[in-house]
Amino acid sequence: MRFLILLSVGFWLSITGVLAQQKKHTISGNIKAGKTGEDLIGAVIMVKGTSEGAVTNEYGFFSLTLPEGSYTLVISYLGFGKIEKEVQLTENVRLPFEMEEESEDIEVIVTGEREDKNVTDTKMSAQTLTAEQIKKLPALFGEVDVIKNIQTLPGVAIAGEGNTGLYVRGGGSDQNLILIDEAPVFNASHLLGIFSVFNSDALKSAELYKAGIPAQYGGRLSSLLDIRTRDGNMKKYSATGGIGLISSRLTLEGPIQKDKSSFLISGRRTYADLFLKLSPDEKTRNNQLYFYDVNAKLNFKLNDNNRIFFAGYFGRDLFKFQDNFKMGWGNGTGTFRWNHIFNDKVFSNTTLIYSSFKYSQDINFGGVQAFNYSTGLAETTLKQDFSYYPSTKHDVTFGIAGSYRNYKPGTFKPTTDNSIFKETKLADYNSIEGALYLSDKYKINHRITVEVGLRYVLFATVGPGTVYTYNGEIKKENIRDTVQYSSFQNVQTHGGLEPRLSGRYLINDQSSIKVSYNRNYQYIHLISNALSPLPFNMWVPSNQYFKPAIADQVAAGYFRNFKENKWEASAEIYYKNMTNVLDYIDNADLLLNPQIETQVKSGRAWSYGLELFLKKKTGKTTGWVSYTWSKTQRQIPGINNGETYYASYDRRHNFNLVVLHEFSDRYSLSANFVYGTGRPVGLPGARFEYDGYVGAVYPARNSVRLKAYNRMDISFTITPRKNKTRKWKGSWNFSIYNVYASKNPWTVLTTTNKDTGNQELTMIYFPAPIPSVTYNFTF
Amino acid sequence: MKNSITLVFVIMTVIVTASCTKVIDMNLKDVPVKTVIQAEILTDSFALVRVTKTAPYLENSPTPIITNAFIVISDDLGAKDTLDHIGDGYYKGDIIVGNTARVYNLSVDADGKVYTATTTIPTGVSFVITGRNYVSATEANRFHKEGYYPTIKTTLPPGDSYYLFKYYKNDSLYVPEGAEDDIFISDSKFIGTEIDGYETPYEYQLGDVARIDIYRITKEGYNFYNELSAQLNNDGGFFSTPPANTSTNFSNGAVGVFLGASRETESLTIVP
Repeated sequence: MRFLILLSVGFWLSITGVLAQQKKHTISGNIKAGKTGEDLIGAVIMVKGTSEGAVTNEYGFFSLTLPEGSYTLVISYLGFGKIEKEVQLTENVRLPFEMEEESEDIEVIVTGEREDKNVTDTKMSAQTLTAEQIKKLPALFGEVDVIKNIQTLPGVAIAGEGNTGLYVRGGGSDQNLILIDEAPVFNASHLLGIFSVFNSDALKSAELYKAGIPAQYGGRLSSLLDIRTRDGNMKKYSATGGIGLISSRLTLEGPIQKDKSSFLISGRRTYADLFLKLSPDEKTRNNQLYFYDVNAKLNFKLNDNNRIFFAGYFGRDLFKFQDNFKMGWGNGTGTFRWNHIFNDKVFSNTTLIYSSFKYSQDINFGGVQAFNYSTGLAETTLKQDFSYYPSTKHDVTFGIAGSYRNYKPGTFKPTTDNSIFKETKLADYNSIEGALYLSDKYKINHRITVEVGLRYVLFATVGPGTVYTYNGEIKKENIRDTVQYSSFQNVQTHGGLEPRLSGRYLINDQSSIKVSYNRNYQYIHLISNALSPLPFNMWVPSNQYFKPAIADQVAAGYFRNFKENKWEASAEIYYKNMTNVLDYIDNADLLLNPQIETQVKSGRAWSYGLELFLKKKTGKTTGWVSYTWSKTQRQIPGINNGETYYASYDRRHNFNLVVLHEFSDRYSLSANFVYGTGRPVGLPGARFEYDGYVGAVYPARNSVRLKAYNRMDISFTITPRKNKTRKWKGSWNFSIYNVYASKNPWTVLTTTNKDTGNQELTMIYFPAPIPSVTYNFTF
Repeated sequence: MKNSITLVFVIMTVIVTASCTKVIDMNLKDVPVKTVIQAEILTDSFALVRVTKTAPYLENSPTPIITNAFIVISDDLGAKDTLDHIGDGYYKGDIIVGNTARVYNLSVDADGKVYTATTTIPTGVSFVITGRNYVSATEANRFHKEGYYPTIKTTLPPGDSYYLFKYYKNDSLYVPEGAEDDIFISDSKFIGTEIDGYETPYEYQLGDVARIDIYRITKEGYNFYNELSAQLNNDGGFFSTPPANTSTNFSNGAVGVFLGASRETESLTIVP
């Protein structure tokens, strides 16, 4: 650790040293898409004839410091064509305005990344998906989904059919930091995990980090999924949308004041239940099953140096069966952001974030058995991030963040006067967290670039709250006492340093080697024993009993591009060790249990694997192939007799093939094929008879594997010819999920045959094939 | 109680996947054969024990019964009662009668191993059947069928208590079709003291004699039945906790529980 700190200090010294030597000036500015005014993330600014250059940040800002002289800048962005710009550098220059003029006549597609980013970037184990790419893939029920796209990438495993849980490099579905405009999303699923909460129309980009998570982010062990929504068109009003079989979407956007401010509002709702309203039966009409979500963004350019954004997301799911059951859940997030350019070298981003998740369920049988059950949590964070570009050799980011979380583990209350239930409320948990980070991307020479980052988090669970103490083993029978804590009284503090290191060695223009080491801490724990991302799961903070989970990951890879960057390929290996990972005792009682620590054990998990990826980026036919070999195991004292067992999402082989082909302007086809080793499950080895029932005896945990998973989806898009002359542009998308009706086990149950009385195994699978049609439009 | 919260997901599973099920064949892991002991001592009754063995899960054969076990129940006053085999693996005592004031020890010597367990009998909770609710054809749905539902009134004792319910129709155990895996148990965790109007889970028709048995059981007994219920109604761990082995109060690795319980019975003839 000392070494790291010295290394960082060394960089700072070298920065100041460089500055003193020569007279230098800075070119800075924003790069935007000409037609929409949308900031371009990751556009590349190169100095012609040299290897010097810069890349725009998440807000389209770049800064490039060069010695006095004249230069030709080459600005490139996939789908935009190159722009060349002569610059006489005798003083600091701001270039945003010119860039917009230049790009006016270029076809605007907000895709974008450096053509040879795969090879040249220090980032490894990272994948970017743009809105355009996301929309091209076949979709389940016609609903394009970013999470489903991410599941086709190497190193990402799925739990089962139609499940939006992400299992990244042996990590659980609660180990992903999923951000929408920097606000964390605690449960990213709709309809019990069949869809994700992200409406593809509102998205600008999604970036997944499986390793090499920037020091700016932390709090989860296994991945960062950074989702950004579009800012809204600053030039003109437009609408996009789609009408599908089960849902429709509409996005409106445009300038509030041209070139200065814009808005975007995007909504989506499923309407399967609206058909129920047509039913002649009153009871059927009284059923409900839907979700909706709304994304909204306001974007104001106050002047050349100041911009502010407001972004919000709100989504709800509702399922109601007559008057007997009702459940609803959803996330709400809000982000306020202020971008400020202090000077040509220092870019600042101040962010205030709020995120909450709520779940509520009502059951009512004749008023006697009537109750409401609710859980939730909320987080407020204030962050200050700086980007500092002292020279072409260094990109420095640093910042500070503080957050407060309130966790409501569960309230249970009767909802009628004659209900047999009584109110039961678990005490809230509260936590505060402070984070500091510093990171420098140091270009040592044209071959070697290293990124050295360090993050420090201090996490405290605070009152008000109740903590149980135990004599000896943490069991309910051993409760010694309860301790009450008052507001903001410290219950337990945890903290630690998280080094993040990565390096790239450029072998030649087409190939490079990258290595990385990462340490991540996770201070909040999802108490869930089910594979599906259930909405009633609760989160608890690290305290006396739940130690922060720690992941150490090393990864190395070889990256190679072919045929002028048309093809990119990579091979990566990783090893990840996780400590203080939670698992649950047999028959754990996790619902409304005030001594939840008695149901949980912690121990070690580890995962290692090989990931191969080949992608064709341009041409009539594009797509990718990914293959992952991995192994994920756990060893937790008190679970499975302390013996090693496979994680329930462990799959040895995972193969994905995605192909997109454009036959002409009018017709395009996409297809994907998925194959994965069956996941391990717990099925009994023996049965016993008891009081007229048939019980089961289970061998070791997750000891049997389901059969391999495989599926192919296709999607066909027709764009009518008349689009060219009209403002209204429409297209039809036809897709078929699971074309050849592969019966993939969603889950396997032990059942009794009604006729013979014998025990048997029953597989439940999704109906297939599932065709869907969507009409998409923009005007 | 736990069950009614997760019930929604079971229903969702059923709705989402209604038509798509298929019986499959898989190679299951073998587990060593275990002795299974179903043992109970009820108030005002002799001890009743059944001893069987586990069998491979998918094998289509009855589970083997043990007819030569040596079983002794004793209490904390020194009384002893050796149980006699009465057929089909069942053993019955003829001296010790269940009493809430005693502590009972059971010793089962079967297949060369001795299994022991201890239990008490919690004091019973009396109840009355106050009447019946009628659900008409128009009000009925798949969870609340047309018919008559007897209602219960009782007062729960203070502190944690545990219950097992059995329903009879015309003197035989009432198991409607599709309800073979239903086990009705409850703890007092979320329940208030006064209970009035609690309905039977199944409907009765005119002329039926509805009988309700409420067993107040021990915590160990509740845990066992709760875990057995989780096994029977599991969804493979997709929405609910993955099924696991049942817990036991027997030593030496037997499956089953030595249950101490007080039973209260009430009946109602359904009339218009």
